[in-house]
Amino acid sequence: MRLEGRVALVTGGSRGIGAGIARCMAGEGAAVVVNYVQSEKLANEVVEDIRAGGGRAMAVQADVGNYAQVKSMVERSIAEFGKVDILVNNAGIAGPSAPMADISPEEFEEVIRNHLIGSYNCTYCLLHHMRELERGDVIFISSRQTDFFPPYSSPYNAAKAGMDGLAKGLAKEERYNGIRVNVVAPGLVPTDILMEELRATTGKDSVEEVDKVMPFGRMMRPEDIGNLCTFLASEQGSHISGEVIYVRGAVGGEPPSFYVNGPKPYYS
Amino acid sequence: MEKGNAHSLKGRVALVTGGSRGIGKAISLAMAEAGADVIVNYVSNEGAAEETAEEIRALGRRALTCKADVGDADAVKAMVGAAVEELGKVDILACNAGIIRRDSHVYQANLEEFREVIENHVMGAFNCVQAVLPVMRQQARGDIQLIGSTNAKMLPIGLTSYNVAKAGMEVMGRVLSKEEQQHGIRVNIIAPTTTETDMASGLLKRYGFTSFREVDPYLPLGRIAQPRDTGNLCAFLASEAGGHISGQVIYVDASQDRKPTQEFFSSASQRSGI
Repeated sequence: MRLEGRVALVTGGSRGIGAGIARCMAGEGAAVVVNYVQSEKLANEVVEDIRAGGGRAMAVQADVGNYAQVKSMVERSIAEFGKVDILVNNAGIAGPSAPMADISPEEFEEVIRNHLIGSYNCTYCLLHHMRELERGDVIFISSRQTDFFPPYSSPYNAAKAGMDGLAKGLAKEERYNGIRVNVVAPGLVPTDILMEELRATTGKDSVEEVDKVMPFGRMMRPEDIGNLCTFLASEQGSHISGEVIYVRGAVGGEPPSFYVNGPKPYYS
Repeated sequence: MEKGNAHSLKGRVALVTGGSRGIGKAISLAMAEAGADVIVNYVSNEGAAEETAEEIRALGRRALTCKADVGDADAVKAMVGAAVEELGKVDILACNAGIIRRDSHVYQANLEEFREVIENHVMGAFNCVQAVLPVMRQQARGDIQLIGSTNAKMLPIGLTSYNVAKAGMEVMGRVLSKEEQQHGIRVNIIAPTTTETDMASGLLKRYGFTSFREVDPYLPLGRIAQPRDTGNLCAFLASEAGGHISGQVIYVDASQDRKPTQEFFSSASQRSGI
């Protein structure tokens, strides 16, 4: 058990990558706070699964973009589990897919507020607490997009680049306080939205069908992200800080069809 | 992905160049602990290689020691041949062998020394990769790990040959990851900072320290990097749990990128009055 005795707060932990991280960390012995904003049912499922496996978990609703809600979530987490020594800033929204010329100030701000301000809120709220602990880990879930910045995605690009910048400076600020700060940048994982897109572009119906044409034998899964986050927070990964690590399988990580007839030819 | 098996390297065969001492030894042992059989390459210190091999065997794995200068393409080919004959295949390659020559300012560098460092790292990695690829492409999965250095981003003065060599390995690895991805081969660059090894002990003495423990408080996260920090990452990346990470340069340096380690050592020696 690599995370025995640790307590992880995973924002956006009810679905997709966040749920993968929560389950993975719980599987290695960490108590997990599963944060959600809308998906109460899914958050409870993740919590139930973790408890059924003998782990400790609880679901807490909070919009990470709202500092008051974050503060109360952190207080509840510490009250329940005694501390939080792993923070995973994973909560995110996709944002509009359009040229910047057509994105309103409100739409832009919403994405920045969710990713960047949200990460700041959670990290700020926990930093002084973490400094008192033997070890702290802050992991930012960024995106493969910071490697190539595709067009028609300006709020998301800006938000994720901002998270990378925040993390890298923070790693240096906190490196004498025992706090590790890293960025994990996932490629595409087969979420509902991606599968819809795949059906439209490739005619392939299931993840398993797409798996067969992937260079490494399968598409990415949330566990791939969860495994790296767990490694970084463990004793084995304890001297890694200030890094941005892309997890995207073969370069780009997209099914081959995305290169030739995907809807967004700039994806690389 | 079955839980509990995701970190296993059972059934894999790893070739670790410069695997007898320091970081190479830690990589060999981390791979063996995860279940891999290991070929320990060395060039001069046979005793250390045998010792490492014994430790691997004590873990219940097969181990082979193999003498070869990685800069010598024929010797590398012979080594890979022997490895395949003895252990059946090679599906993990860790290019770790390295040397360092100080005061290699371009203006005054000794041509032979400069060439020696480039040959050892860049051509050495090239020779090993080229010799291993035909075997590795036949396997269900392959992993190539090039051991880089934070020098490739810090670019400290006085170590130009080493900086250039490590930067060369980095670029080769990044391109190689694209060339070989369709063959299921993952390629990553694991780049440690100054690590507690024989290679770094000279630096320690240069600044008047007698033990690495004296330096620890001045370094990020309170300690100098250990060989095992790099070994653990190598074993993780080669496992199913790290199976979707490729083409990455990962620095194992506790975010130590404000000053090169030499400056840390030097300011530490000032602060401690040495």
